Amino acid sequence: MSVRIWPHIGRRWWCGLAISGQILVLCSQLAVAQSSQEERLLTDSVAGFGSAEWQTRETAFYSFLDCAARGRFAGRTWTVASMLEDLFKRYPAREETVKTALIRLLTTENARMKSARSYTEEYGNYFGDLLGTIGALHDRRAIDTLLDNLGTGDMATKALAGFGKDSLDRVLMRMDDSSLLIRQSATITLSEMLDPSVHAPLDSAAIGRIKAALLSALRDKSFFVQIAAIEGLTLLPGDDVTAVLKTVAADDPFHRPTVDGRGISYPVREAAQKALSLRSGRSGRSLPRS
Amino acid sequence: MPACADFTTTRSSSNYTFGNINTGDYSVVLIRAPLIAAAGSGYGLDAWVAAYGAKRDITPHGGFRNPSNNTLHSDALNSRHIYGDAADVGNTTAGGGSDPNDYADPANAARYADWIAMEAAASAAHLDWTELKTGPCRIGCVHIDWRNHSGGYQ
Repeated sequence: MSVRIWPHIGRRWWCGLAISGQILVLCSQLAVAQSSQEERLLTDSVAGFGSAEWQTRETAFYSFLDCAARGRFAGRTWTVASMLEDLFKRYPAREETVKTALIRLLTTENARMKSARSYTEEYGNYFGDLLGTIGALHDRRAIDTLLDNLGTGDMATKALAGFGKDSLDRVLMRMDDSSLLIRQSATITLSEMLDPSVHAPLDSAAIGRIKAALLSALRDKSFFVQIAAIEGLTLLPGDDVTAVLKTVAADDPFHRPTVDGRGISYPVREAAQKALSLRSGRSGRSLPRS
Repeated sequence: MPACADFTTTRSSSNYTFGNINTGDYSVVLIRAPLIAAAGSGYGLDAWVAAYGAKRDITPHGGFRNPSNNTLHSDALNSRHIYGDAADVGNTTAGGGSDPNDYADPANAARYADWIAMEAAASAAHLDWTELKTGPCRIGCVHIDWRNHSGGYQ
């Protein structure tokens, strides 16, 4: 029985193996072709970053993101960090060129944004995606270009906070800025530096400097800056911080009508009360050591 | 590309109804989770209202826009408004200048001050990106989006 069956199975097996082999060869050829096409796209995109026309730079940038996404980027800004990580694994030799070209691109757009009397939604949207991408690079050389974008939101502040000590001095310098939006964003950045999900624990000297800056920000003339400082102080241990928060929670004078207009709210007091409640519910082990 | 299951006919936040957020042509839209997160999360439209201290309406075309509607109101094919994680919140403080959205005109000082407060509230609500005073609606509205916050459509 087996003598009759084996030759039959053997023929089928060899035939299957041959077809599988051919498919494998075709697939690997296709993968090589796809990979070289992707690499060409990458080269062309990076070359386009240097164009004098912003529309060309924008097209090149989104081609780059499509390339990183291995398909359509489709607005998934929050996945850019993992897309870049994957791209640099595929093309490690290109990583340095791509990173420097991207940082240079944001420098170019910063200059354009600063000098523009107005810009369109298309440009603003592109700028935002570029800023998010530079933040996702986590490259120290981008610190200054990111600092130029304080006041535009969390993509800038979180990226700067992620550098910890490397950006600390430059962020501290913005704490006295005449613009409320810059002071508030600098304060948010300092608070985010203390957040273990954004940055690994800092050394005691850095924490001491942040603490001093946040305590000083509690005396800012804007309640927005004060509340941003309280968010950071929530994460700092120490009876001295608790005492300050207790004073703010009891006495801060700023008030305004409630959202429904039926009463009075004290937003800074409420932020301090929330901070105290979070601190009391948190064990000392989870607070960074000062 | 969004799947059928991503579209909604009901999603809303505490302060903004489905109708407030949907400024497109259809009753089936995309609204991403970060836009309508609870105020306690620290981000989203409700966190913005809590930080600002009052609700302000989304402008007539400043919520979700379906792509064809988007082409009528924006040059941005990739606008965050088509992804459902952005809103343009209108500045209702009157400006005294001939161009009420000119921040440099001292006659618009009160309107500009309110725009700064709206922007500061947006930062307090941990927005990811805002257009500046030189952006498309200048000081007439505040563009807020949470494009870098994760969260899907359901």
